[in-house]
Amino acid sequence: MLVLGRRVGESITIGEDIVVTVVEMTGSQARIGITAPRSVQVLREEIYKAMQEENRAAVRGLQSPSVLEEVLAHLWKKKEQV
Amino acid sequence: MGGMRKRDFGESLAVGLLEGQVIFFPEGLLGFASNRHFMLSRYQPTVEPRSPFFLLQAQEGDISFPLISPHLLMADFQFAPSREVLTKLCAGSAADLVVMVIVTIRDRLEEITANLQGPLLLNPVSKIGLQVVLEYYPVRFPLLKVPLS
Repeated sequence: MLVLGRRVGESITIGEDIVVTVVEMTGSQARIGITAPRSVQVLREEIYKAMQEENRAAVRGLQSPSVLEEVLAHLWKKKEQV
Repeated sequence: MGGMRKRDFGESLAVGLLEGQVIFFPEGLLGFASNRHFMLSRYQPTVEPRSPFFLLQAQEGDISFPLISPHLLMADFQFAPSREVLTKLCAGSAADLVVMVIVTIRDRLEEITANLQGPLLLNPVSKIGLQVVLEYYPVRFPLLKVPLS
């Protein structure tokens, strides 16, 4: 990983059209400003990873589509009991 | 068991245009960036009479996602795609899109959840799809706490 020291107000450019700026430092927390084309999706890493992990879990959960049959059986049974 | 509005089962004209079709995801799905083409089909149960589930199957590899309409889980499910998202989907407005969420099946039925935070936006005309992130919705919304009607 490339590590660069930056002061508040200083920036880093990535490629042609992405600029990352340190906006504010409070203790161990940094506020970061990002200028990027709207077509570039900017996400907090934990959100990105949670989404990746959930997609993978969804594929694992569907070992066979017959699993859905069990889910449906449960759903409709539950409904009838109401 | 009755009383569910037809459109909640995704029986709209728009969904009909996508069934059996290959949908192109130019950005893939998060964690599955190399898969770009997926076939959407309605899950046909063998025993149970009705099903709100759809399947999204990758054209390459053994990768399938179960899908459900988020409106079935949350009546006022809202998403406001940006102009860039609409452009990527070749759509004029959000009203042109079909929205589905991915279901994660786990061993215990009560642990089954739907990912409301990462819905799939599908354009039934251009057959382009995109997974977007809505930070204001949960990744794991319990499926079975909501009666399906």
